[in-house]
Amino acid sequence: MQFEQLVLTAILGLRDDAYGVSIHDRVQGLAKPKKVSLGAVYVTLDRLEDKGMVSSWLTDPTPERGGRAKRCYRLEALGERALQESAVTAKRVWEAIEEALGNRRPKWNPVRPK
Amino acid sequence: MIQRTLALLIPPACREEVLGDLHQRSAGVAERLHTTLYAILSRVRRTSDPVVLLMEGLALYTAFVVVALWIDPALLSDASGMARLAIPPAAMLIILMLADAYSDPKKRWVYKPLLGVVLGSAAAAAVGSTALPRSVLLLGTAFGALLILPIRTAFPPVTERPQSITGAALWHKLELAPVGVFAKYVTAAAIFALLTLVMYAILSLR
Repeated sequence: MQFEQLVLTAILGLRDDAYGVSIHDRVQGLAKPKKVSLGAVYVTLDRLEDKGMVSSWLTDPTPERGGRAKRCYRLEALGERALQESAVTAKRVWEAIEEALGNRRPKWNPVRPK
Repeated sequence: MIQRTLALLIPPACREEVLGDLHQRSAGVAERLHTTLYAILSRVRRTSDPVVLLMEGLALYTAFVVVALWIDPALLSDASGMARLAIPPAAMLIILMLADAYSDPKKRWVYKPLLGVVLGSAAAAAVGSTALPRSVLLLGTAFGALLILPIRTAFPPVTERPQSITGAALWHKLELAPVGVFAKYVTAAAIFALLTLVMYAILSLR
Protein backbone atom coordinates (compact mmCIF):
# COMPACT_ATOMS: atom_id res chain seq x y z
CA MET A 1 0.00 0.00 0.00
CA GLN A 2 2.91 2.39 0.70
CA PHE A 3 3.83 2.70 -2.98
CA GLU A 4 0.17 3.14 -3.91
CA GLN A 5 0.01 6.01 -1.38
CA LEU A 6 2.96 7.67 -3.08
CA VAL A 7 1.33 7.36 -6.51
CA LEU A 8 -2.03 8.62 -5.21
CA THR A 9 -0.28 11.57 -3.55
CA ALA A 10 1.54 12.37 -6.80
CA ILE A 11 -1.72 12.32 -8.79
CA LEU A 12 -3.41 14.50 -6.17
CA GLY A 13 -0.60 17.05 -6.36
CA LEU A 14 -0.30 17.10 -10.14
CA ARG A 15 -4.04 17.61 -10.72
CA ASP A 16 -4.66 17.90 -14.49
CA ASP A 17 -1.03 17.20 -15.44
CA ALA A 18 -0.86 13.68 -13.99
CA TYR A 19 0.50 11.27 -16.60
CA GLY A 20 3.23 8.59 -16.70
CA VAL A 21 6.36 10.77 -16.77
CA SER A 22 5.11 13.50 -14.42
CA ILE A 23 3.77 10.96 -11.91
CA HIS A 24 7.08 9.07 -12.02
CA ASP A 25 9.07 12.26 -11.39
CA ARG A 26 6.84 13.24 -8.46
CA VAL A 27 6.94 9.72 -6.95
CA GLN A 28 10.73 9.69 -7.38
CA GLY A 29 10.88 12.91 -5.34
CA LEU A 30 8.59 11.52 -2.64
CA ALA A 31 10.44 8.18 -2.37
CA LYS A 32 13.97 9.64 -2.13
CA PRO A 33 16.57 8.18 -1.79
CA LYS A 34 14.88 5.04 -3.10
CA LYS A 35 14.96 4.67 -6.88
CA VAL A 36 11.63 4.14 -8.58
CA SER A 37 11.26 2.66 -12.06
CA LEU A 38 8.76 3.88 -14.63
CA GLY A 39 7.51 0.30 -15.03
CA ALA A 40 6.66 0.03 -11.34
CA VAL A 41 4.61 3.24 -11.65
CA TYR A 42 2.67 1.76 -14.60
CA VAL A 43 1.91 -1.44 -12.68
CA THR A 44 0.66 0.56 -9.70
CA LEU A 45 -1.43 2.89 -11.87
CA ASP A 46 -3.09 -0.14 -13.52
CA ARG A 47 -3.79 -1.67 -10.11
CA LEU A 48 -5.23 1.59 -8.76
CA GLU A 49 -7.44 1.88 -11.85
CA ASP A 50 -8.68 -1.69 -11.33
CA LYS A 51 -9.57 -0.80 -7.74
CA GLY A 52 -11.50 2.26 -8.95
CA MET A 53 -9.22 4.71 -7.10
CA VAL A 54 -8.12 6.51 -10.26
CA SER A 55 -9.54 6.90 -13.74
CA SER A 56 -7.66 7.59 -16.97
CA TRP A 57 -8.11 8.98 -20.46
CA LEU A 58 -5.93 9.49 -23.52
CA THR A 59 -5.08 13.02 -24.67
CA ASP A 60 -4.21 14.20 -28.18
CA PRO A 61 -0.76 13.27 -29.55
CA THR A 62 2.01 15.88 -29.15
CA PRO A 63 5.29 16.35 -31.10
CA GLU A 64 7.54 16.31 -27.98
CA ARG A 65 6.27 12.80 -27.32
CA GLY A 66 7.07 11.59 -30.83
CA GLY A 67 3.48 12.02 -31.95
CA ARG A 68 2.15 9.81 -29.16
CA ALA A 69 -0.70 10.54 -26.78
CA LYS A 70 -0.52 10.83 -22.99
CA ARG A 71 -2.64 8.78 -20.62
CA CYS A 72 -3.77 11.22 -17.96
CA TYR A 73 -4.96 10.10 -14.53
CA ARG A 74 -7.46 11.62 -12.11
CA LEU A 75 -8.09 10.73 -8.49
CA GLU A 76 -11.57 9.30 -7.91
CA ALA A 77 -13.59 9.64 -4.69
CA LEU A 78 -12.49 6.16 -3.58
CA GLY A 79 -8.82 7.09 -4.05
CA GLU A 80 -9.24 10.35 -2.16
CA ARG A 81 -10.87 8.52 0.73
CA ALA A 82 -8.10 5.88 0.78
CA LEU A 83 -5.45 8.61 0.80
CA GLN A 84 -7.18 10.47 3.64
CA GLU A 85 -7.44 7.27 5.65
CA SER A 86 -3.76 6.49 5.16
CA ALA A 87 -2.83 10.06 6.17
CA VAL A 88 -4.88 9.72 9.37
CA THR A 89 -3.17 6.38 10.12
CA ALA A 90 0.26 7.90 9.49
CA LYS A 91 -0.59 10.77 11.88
CA ARG A 92 -1.71 8.29 14.53
CA VAL A 93 1.53 6.32 14.16
CA TRP A 94 3.52 9.53 14.50
CA GLU A 95 1.62 10.53 17.65
CA ALA A 96 2.24 7.06 19.13
CA ILE A 97 5.97 7.42 18.44
CA GLU A 98 6.00 10.87 20.04
CA GLU A 99 4.18 9.53 23.10
CA ALA A 100 6.52 6.55 23.43
CA LEU A 101 9.66 8.63 23.09
CA GLY A 102 8.45 11.18 25.65
CA ASN A 103 11.10 13.85 26.31
CA ARG A 104 13.33 12.40 23.57
CA ARG A 105 10.71 13.74 21.19
CA PRO A 106 12.15 13.98 17.67
CA LYS A 107 11.48 16.89 15.37
CA TRP A 108 8.92 16.41 12.58
CA ASN A 109 11.58 15.80 9.99
CA PRO A 110 12.38 12.09 10.15
CA VAL A 111 15.50 11.06 8.27
CA ARG A 112 15.90 7.60 6.81
CA PRO A 113 18.54 5.72 8.89
CA LYS A 114 21.71 4.89 6.98
CA MET B 1 16.32 -1.72 -34.40
CA ILE B 2 16.23 -2.82 -30.71
CA GLN B 3 13.92 0.06 -29.87
CA ARG B 4 11.53 -0.87 -32.68
CA THR B 5 11.47 -4.49 -31.52
CA LEU B 6 10.78 -3.41 -27.94
CA ALA B 7 8.00 -1.14 -29.19
CA LEU B 8 6.36 -4.13 -30.86
CA LEU B 9 6.63 -6.12 -27.62
CA ILE B 10 4.52 -3.59 -25.69
CA PRO B 11 0.86 -4.76 -25.63
CA PRO B 12 -1.29 -2.62 -27.99
CA ALA B 13 -3.63 -1.57 -25.17
CA CYS B 14 -0.88 0.49 -23.47
CA ARG B 15 1.57 0.94 -26.37
CA GLU B 16 0.61 4.55 -27.16
CA GLU B 17 1.23 6.06 -23.72
CA VAL B 18 4.25 3.89 -22.84
CA LEU B 19 6.06 4.74 -26.10
CA GLY B 20 5.17 8.42 -25.65
CA ASP B 21 6.55 8.45 -22.10
CA LEU B 22 9.74 6.63 -23.14
CA HIS B 23 10.24 9.09 -26.02
CA GLN B 24 9.70 12.09 -23.75
CA ARG B 25 12.25 10.75 -21.25
CA SER B 26 14.71 9.84 -24.05
CA ALA B 27 15.01 6.48 -22.32
CA GLY B 28 17.95 4.20 -23.02
CA VAL B 29 17.73 0.55 -24.07
CA ALA B 30 17.96 -0.76 -20.47
CA GLU B 31 15.12 1.45 -19.27
CA ARG B 32 13.03 0.59 -22.33
CA LEU B 33 13.59 -3.12 -21.75
CA HIS B 34 12.71 -2.84 -18.06
CA THR B 35 9.59 -0.74 -18.71
CA THR B 36 8.44 -3.06 -21.52
CA LEU B 37 8.71 -6.07 -19.21
CA TYR B 38 6.62 -4.34 -16.53
CA ALA B 39 4.05 -3.20 -19.11
CA ILE B 40 3.65 -6.79 -20.37
CA LEU B 41 3.34 -8.25 -16.86
CA SER B 42 0.84 -5.60 -15.83
CA ARG B 43 -1.27 -6.21 -18.93
CA VAL B 44 -1.18 -9.99 -18.37
CA ARG B 45 -2.33 -9.44 -14.78
CA ARG B 46 -5.15 -7.17 -15.95
CA THR B 47 -6.48 -9.42 -18.69
CA SER B 48 -6.11 -12.77 -16.89
CA ASP B 49 -8.87 -14.02 -14.66
CA PRO B 50 -7.43 -16.65 -12.27
CA VAL B 51 -10.79 -18.44 -11.97
CA VAL B 52 -11.25 -18.69 -15.73
CA LEU B 53 -7.61 -19.81 -16.12
CA LEU B 54 -8.17 -22.51 -13.52
CA MET B 55 -11.27 -23.70 -15.38
CA GLU B 56 -9.36 -23.75 -18.67
CA GLY B 57 -6.40 -25.55 -17.10
CA LEU B 58 -8.60 -28.24 -15.58
CA ALA B 59 -10.54 -28.68 -18.84
CA LEU B 60 -7.33 -29.05 -20.85
CA TYR B 61 -5.70 -31.48 -18.44
CA THR B 62 -8.90 -33.55 -18.25
CA ALA B 63 -8.99 -33.68 -22.06
CA PHE B 64 -5.44 -35.03 -22.25
CA VAL B 65 -6.00 -37.58 -19.45
CA VAL B 66 -9.24 -38.84 -21.05
CA VAL B 67 -7.57 -39.18 -24.45
CA ALA B 68 -4.59 -40.98 -22.88
CA LEU B 69 -6.97 -43.29 -21.01
CA TRP B 70 -8.69 -44.10 -24.28
CA ILE B 71 -5.73 -44.47 -26.64
CA ASP B 72 -2.65 -45.18 -24.55
CA PRO B 73 -3.52 -46.29 -20.96
CA ALA B 74 0.09 -47.35 -20.40
CA LEU B 75 1.01 -43.66 -20.37
CA LEU B 76 -1.01 -43.13 -17.17
CA SER B 77 0.80 -45.92 -15.30
CA ASP B 78 4.18 -44.54 -16.40
CA ALA B 79 6.09 -42.79 -13.58
CA SER B 80 6.24 -39.46 -15.40
CA GLY B 81 3.11 -39.96 -17.51
CA MET B 82 0.81 -37.61 -15.60
CA ALA B 83 3.50 -34.91 -15.56
CA ARG B 84 4.11 -35.29 -19.31
CA LEU B 85 0.38 -34.92 -19.92
CA ALA B 86 0.53 -31.52 -18.20
CA ILE B 87 3.10 -30.06 -20.61
CA PRO B 88 0.79 -29.22 -23.58
CA PRO B 89 -1.97 -27.75 -21.34
CA ALA B 90 0.63 -25.54 -19.62
CA ALA B 91 1.91 -24.29 -23.00
CA MET B 92 -1.63 -23.63 -24.17
CA LEU B 93 -2.50 -21.69 -21.01
CA ILE B 94 0.58 -19.47 -21.38
CA ILE B 95 -0.35 -18.70 -25.00
CA LEU B 96 -3.96 -17.98 -24.00
CA MET B 97 -2.75 -15.50 -21.36
CA LEU B 98 -0.43 -13.79 -23.83
CA ALA B 99 -3.12 -13.72 -26.54
CA ASP B 100 -5.48 -11.95 -24.14
CA ALA B 101 -2.77 -9.52 -23.06
CA TYR B 102 -1.84 -8.66 -26.65
CA SER B 103 -5.38 -8.36 -27.99
CA ASP B 104 -6.15 -4.83 -29.08
CA PRO B 105 -9.23 -3.52 -27.21
CA LYS B 106 -9.93 -1.06 -30.07
CA LYS B 107 -10.37 -3.89 -32.56
CA ARG B 108 -13.70 -5.61 -32.04
CA TRP B 109 -13.99 -9.00 -33.67
CA VAL B 110 -16.48 -11.82 -33.20
CA TYR B 111 -13.86 -14.57 -33.43
CA LYS B 112 -11.40 -12.92 -31.03
CA PRO B 113 -11.81 -15.59 -28.30
CA LEU B 114 -11.01 -18.26 -30.93
CA LEU B 115 -7.67 -16.74 -31.91
CA GLY B 116 -6.08 -17.59 -28.56
CA VAL B 117 -7.41 -21.15 -28.77
CA VAL B 118 -5.98 -21.66 -32.26
CA LEU B 119 -2.57 -20.24 -31.31
CA GLY B 120 -2.62 -22.15 -28.02
CA SER B 121 -3.42 -25.42 -29.80
CA ALA B 122 -0.51 -24.88 -32.18
CA ALA B 123 1.81 -24.18 -29.24
CA ALA B 124 0.56 -27.25 -27.34
CA ALA B 125 1.12 -29.45 -30.38
CA ALA B 126 4.62 -28.03 -30.91
CA VAL B 127 5.75 -28.18 -27.26
CA GLY B 128 4.26 -31.59 -26.50
CA SER B 129 5.69 -33.33 -29.57
CA THR B 130 8.66 -34.72 -27.65
CA ALA B 131 6.75 -35.52 -24.46
CA LEU B 132 3.70 -37.41 -25.72
CA PRO B 133 2.80 -39.90 -28.46
CA ARG B 134 1.51 -38.11 -31.55
CA SER B 135 -2.01 -39.59 -31.38
CA VAL B 136 -2.49 -38.55 -27.72
CA LEU B 137 -1.04 -35.13 -28.42
CA LEU B 138 -3.19 -34.30 -31.44
CA LEU B 139 -6.45 -35.70 -30.10
CA GLY B 140 -5.81 -34.23 -26.64
CA THR B 141 -5.17 -30.81 -28.19
CA ALA B 142 -8.32 -31.01 -30.33
CA PHE B 143 -10.45 -32.30 -27.46
CA GLY B 144 -9.00 -29.67 -25.10
CA ALA B 145 -9.67 -26.89 -27.63
CA LEU B 146 -13.27 -28.06 -27.87
CA LEU B 147 -13.66 -28.03 -24.10
CA ILE B 148 -12.23 -24.56 -23.58
CA LEU B 149 -14.09 -22.95 -26.47
CA PRO B 150 -17.36 -22.66 -24.51
CA ILE B 151 -15.43 -21.37 -21.48
CA ARG B 152 -13.81 -18.61 -23.54
CA THR B 153 -17.08 -17.78 -25.24
CA ALA B 154 -18.84 -17.51 -21.89
CA PHE B 155 -15.98 -15.59 -20.25
CA PRO B 156 -14.31 -13.60 -23.05
CA PRO B 157 -11.22 -11.45 -22.43
CA VAL B 158 -12.01 -8.19 -20.69
CA THR B 159 -10.43 -5.00 -22.07
CA GLU B 160 -10.57 -3.09 -18.82
CA ARG B 161 -11.25 -4.49 -15.39
CA PRO B 162 -14.52 -3.25 -13.94
CA GLN B 163 -13.99 -0.42 -11.49
CA SER B 164 -15.48 -1.33 -8.16
CA ILE B 165 -17.59 1.83 -8.08
CA THR B 166 -18.97 1.15 -11.55
CA GLY B 167 -19.25 -2.62 -11.46
CA ALA B 168 -22.20 -2.79 -13.79
CA ALA B 169 -20.08 -1.34 -16.59
CA LEU B 170 -18.31 -4.70 -16.95
CA TRP B 171 -20.78 -5.85 -19.56
CA HIS B 172 -20.14 -2.74 -21.63
CA LYS B 173 -16.42 -3.37 -21.70
CA LEU B 174 -16.30 -6.89 -23.08
CA GLU B 175 -14.30 -7.27 -26.25
CA LEU B 176 -16.94 -9.28 -28.11
CA ALA B 177 -18.76 -7.59 -30.93
CA PRO B 178 -22.44 -8.49 -31.26
CA VAL B 179 -22.65 -11.93 -32.89
CA GLY B 180 -24.42 -11.87 -36.26
CA VAL B 181 -26.55 -14.72 -37.59
CA PHE B 182 -23.93 -15.66 -40.22
CA ALA B 183 -21.16 -15.81 -37.61
CA LYS B 184 -23.31 -18.05 -35.40
CA TYR B 185 -23.92 -20.53 -38.26
CA VAL B 186 -20.24 -20.56 -39.26
CA THR B 187 -19.14 -21.15 -35.65
CA ALA B 188 -21.71 -23.92 -35.14
CA ALA B 189 -20.68 -25.62 -38.39
CA ALA B 190 -16.98 -25.40 -37.51
CA ILE B 191 -17.54 -26.87 -34.02
CA PHE B 192 -19.69 -29.66 -35.48
CA ALA B 193 -17.05 -30.45 -38.12
CA LEU B 194 -14.25 -30.49 -35.50
CA LEU B 195 -16.29 -32.70 -33.19
CA THR B 196 -17.02 -35.15 -36.03
CA LEU B 197 -13.32 -35.21 -36.94
CA VAL B 198 -12.30 -35.92 -33.35
CA MET B 199 -14.89 -38.70 -32.96
CA TYR B 200 -13.82 -40.24 -36.27
CA ALA B 201 -10.16 -40.09 -35.27
CA ILE B 202 -10.86 -41.67 -31.86
CA LEU B 203 -12.91 -44.47 -33.40
CA SER B 204 -10.39 -45.20 -36.13
CA LEU B 205 -7.49 -45.32 -33.65
CA ARG B 206 -9.18 -47.78 -31.27
